[in-house]
Amino acid sequence: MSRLERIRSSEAGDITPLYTIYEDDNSFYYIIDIPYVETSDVNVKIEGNKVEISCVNRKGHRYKLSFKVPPNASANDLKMTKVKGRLKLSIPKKG
Amino acid sequence: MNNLSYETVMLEEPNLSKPRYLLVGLPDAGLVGQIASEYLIRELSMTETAHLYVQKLPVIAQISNGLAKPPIRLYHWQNLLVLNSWVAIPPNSVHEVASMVCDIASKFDVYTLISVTGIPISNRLDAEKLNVYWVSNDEGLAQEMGRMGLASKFDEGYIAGPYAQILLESKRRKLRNLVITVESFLDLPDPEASAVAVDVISNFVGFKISTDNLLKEAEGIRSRIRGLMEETKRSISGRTGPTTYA
Repeated sequence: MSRLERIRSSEAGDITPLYTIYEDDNSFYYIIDIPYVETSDVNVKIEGNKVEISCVNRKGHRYKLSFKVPPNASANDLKMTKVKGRLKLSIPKKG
Repeated sequence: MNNLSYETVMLEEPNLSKPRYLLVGLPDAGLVGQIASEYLIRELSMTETAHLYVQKLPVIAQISNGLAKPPIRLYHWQNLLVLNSWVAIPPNSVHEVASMVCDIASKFDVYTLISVTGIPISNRLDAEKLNVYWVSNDEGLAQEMGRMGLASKFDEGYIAGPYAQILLESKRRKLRNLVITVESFLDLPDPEASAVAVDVISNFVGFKISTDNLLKEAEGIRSRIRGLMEETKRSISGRTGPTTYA
């Protein structure tokens, strides 16, 4: 897992959410635990291989997480869903 | 402090019926045991029995209603004792905590120690059903679990961390220890896995409890317990061996 982890510390005042990462043959998956949030509340910024997630949840807490995806991940094809109360980012592997 | 560097301060001498059970909820994978024990304490309105002071643990005072308490506390209800910790157990304190748990079991003449933890699976979010397994340190208890059919036998694998040491130390002292382990996240709090554990525990001990509130409050629990999960993740990654896996 540490191979995939390139998480930067967030700016003061933001909560860095808990997250976990796994992969299969086709994609990398980032499971991010932000309680009281809907996908429509979440901003996703993609710059090259850097992904930044930020949101304010229903309790008014600000969350921010930024990370670099592995070189063989296609960040621009990222899809976000909410599964069992957690955010799931699916990032397909290239070619 | 005694030579094991922990001290028990009794708040109340419990009048426990028999057979007696001691449930151990220490922070570990998915905080499965910690969340389950916390839920039982609240839902069963358990009585605070003792405060445990362990010298080597990180210094954390838990504040509730403006009142400071040590993070490891013992509760009781009918024939059930619950030991709950709000502090992660670093690798260098595992032996001490396991000895403390076994001392408590002996002091209260406990019939079976019940440990609750998670077994991490990578695709936890996609799992339709969370499998639950048991491990025992006693042949009779293993046969009992086989007959009851509450969970599957954990055939082969590893259990690491505080629950492994409790399993071994209790075996050395001839105390029965049942480990209930539920498929869970490793490093995200997993109230849904805790709900599965609560079902198995209540059936094993013989009381009725609904897990509806636990599932309903899952988001609030995850929000509240985030700091403990971070601390626990650091403790788990500091272990020399693997975490629990099949």
